[in-house]
Amino acid sequence: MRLTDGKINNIYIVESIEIVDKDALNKISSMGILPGTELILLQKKPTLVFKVYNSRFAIDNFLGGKIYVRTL
Amino acid sequence: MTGLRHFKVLLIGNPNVGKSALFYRLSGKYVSVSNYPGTTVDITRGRRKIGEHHEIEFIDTPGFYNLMTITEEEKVTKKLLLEETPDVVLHVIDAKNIQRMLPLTLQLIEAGLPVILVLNMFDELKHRGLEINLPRLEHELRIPVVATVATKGIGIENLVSRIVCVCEKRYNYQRISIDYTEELSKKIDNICNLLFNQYKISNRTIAALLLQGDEDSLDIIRNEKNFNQIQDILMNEKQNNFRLEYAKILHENAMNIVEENVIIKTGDKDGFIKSLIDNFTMHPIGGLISVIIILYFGFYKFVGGVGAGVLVDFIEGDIFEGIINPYVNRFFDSLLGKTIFFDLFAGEYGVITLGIRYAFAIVLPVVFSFFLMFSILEDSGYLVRLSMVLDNFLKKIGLSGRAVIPMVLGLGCGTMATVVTRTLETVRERYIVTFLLALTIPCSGQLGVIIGLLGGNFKYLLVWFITIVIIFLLSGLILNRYLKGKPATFFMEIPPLRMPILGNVLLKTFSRLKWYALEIIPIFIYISVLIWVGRITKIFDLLTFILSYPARWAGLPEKMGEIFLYGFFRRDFGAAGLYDLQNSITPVQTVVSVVILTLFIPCVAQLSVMMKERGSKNAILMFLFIVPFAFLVGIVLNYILILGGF
Repeated sequence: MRLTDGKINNIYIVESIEIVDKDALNKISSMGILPGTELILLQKKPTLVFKVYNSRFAIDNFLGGKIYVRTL
Repeated sequence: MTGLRHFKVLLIGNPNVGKSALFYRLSGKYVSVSNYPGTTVDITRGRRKIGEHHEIEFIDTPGFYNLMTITEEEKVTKKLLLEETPDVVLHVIDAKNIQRMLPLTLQLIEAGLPVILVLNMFDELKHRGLEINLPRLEHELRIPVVATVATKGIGIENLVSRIVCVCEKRYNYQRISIDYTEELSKKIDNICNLLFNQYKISNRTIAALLLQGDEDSLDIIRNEKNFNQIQDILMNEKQNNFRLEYAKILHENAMNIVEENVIIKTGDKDGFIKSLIDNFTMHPIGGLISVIIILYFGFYKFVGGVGAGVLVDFIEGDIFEGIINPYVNRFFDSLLGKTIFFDLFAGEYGVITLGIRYAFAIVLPVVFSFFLMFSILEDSGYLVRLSMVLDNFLKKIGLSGRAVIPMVLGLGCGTMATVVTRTLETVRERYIVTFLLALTIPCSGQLGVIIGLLGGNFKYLLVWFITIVIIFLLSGLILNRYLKGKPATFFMEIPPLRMPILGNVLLKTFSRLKWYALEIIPIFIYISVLIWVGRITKIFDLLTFILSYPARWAGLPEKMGEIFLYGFFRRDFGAAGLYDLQNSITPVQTVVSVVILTLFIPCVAQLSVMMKERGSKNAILMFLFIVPFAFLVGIVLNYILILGGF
């Protein structure tokens, strides 16, 4: 499922990232998100907010829609 | 006797890890430091003598994530790495995020650069209950590792001595290699075997970048004799997406190191109040409420009330009108008598009685209080939350939450804000923000006067506000619709809310104020002289006369033509002129004039920056649109207000 379809406060593991859009891929991986990374979805509004390692990131649905996750 | 030896030290790292704060501690030179990602838009250089024999040039760079660069800012840093020969590269990281940032350290080490790893914000790491075994980490990476808290000046001495040690080549760097998969390793070796020239970074790194499709690296190997062969290999590899694989390998390498060297203990939880505020400012509704609270207290009450009210009244009324101006008038009267030269310095339009008075008494207090407020918001981490809350809304006008910083800064100084549009990713976003800054966003000089003029009458303030918002939205929507290019995307790290440190806030406020003062005071004086020349040669009368037509069409007194002429030179200057006129015009006339002045073309300084950043053609097109448009809106507004029975 896409990160945008996730539920708040659930822990997810990144399964894959869309690789067609190179720009988006670069941005996503620069946040430390790679297949296998664990993240917690904290908010979905006003933007997606998730915690990865010790940082919180806000990202829009466009980028969030390119991250595929599964539950732990 | 030995001479002075010169060294070059480059600071690089992710956005918002404290590079600029560290740069200040190291070089003693101040660049805007904040709790907002991406505030360094240019490289900044600062020299410092250390002891008798060393002079070190420190170079601060914009935020940088990866050698595979995305934004123009990142390319600037990469170019420095590829072309300059730094004696030391300080990789500055946020210590508590070592997992996420260590991959870049590994990349830099592999590139063969003389890296020192700086674990900044070390206090926040401790607060999170993490501990890093420094000697062991140092041993494992085989580079110097230093812990610092740049904002408080902790760990700087130690860092300086390590820098000197590396500069003098006393540190023995040993190559460590990244564990690639066998397949990738072979491919990298294949390309390395074809590279014969010498580069500033290692061949392995160049090969890895080439395999990921990096254009900049392809550029630097153009002179290789095997260039065509390399290109063929790369063509064949194109469909394999190594970027993700490479990132994953670096990340796994980093994780192994982190797991062995970072000890997790139980962290102190954030206090109840802190996490409450933190959640509230990020909440979809709470976020909007906090925007309103901050606008009301921070800007309306503090900047408007204290800055534009109390401070201006005191400096303008008590100091200038009460003491300086009468003295200056008497002095020049006795010196020059009633000549045209008297008017140059004193009288109604004199350099001192008008130019200096406006600069110091009306504009500077407002700008000061604005920058103070802005610095507090910046350092607390609030601006990122504002970006988040406004992202969806800004998407509708073709921007992302990232555009918040130049826009809010534009409320302080549009010229400064136009420079800061460089932090936006796409040319399209930069164009939109530049235009909106020029047309709709009033700078603090204007804002102070506007609140001063209309603040007493909330109804008229609202009319002004709604008009400007409508124009802002309309122009944003139209630009978004008709400008070509990809839509903006948004991602941003949310720093923890931090209590701003008073010393840092003041330092930042004064450094911005200094920039502003150096920029404006000469212009104010220059304009006073220009007005004097314009008046004695009657050119001023002619231009005033021309501008008085659209002024009259908008139902304004002829004298307004003169004020619009001031506005031509500098927006806040025109607004300040309006301040003098307030008792002789009606409230409707005041609102209409304030709207025209807000929309009116930006000041000379902003126009020149627009030309520099967006190109002369684009800037002049914007200029030619904005001038008639400002008057058109004024004329229409006047009719609406009259029909509405105001």
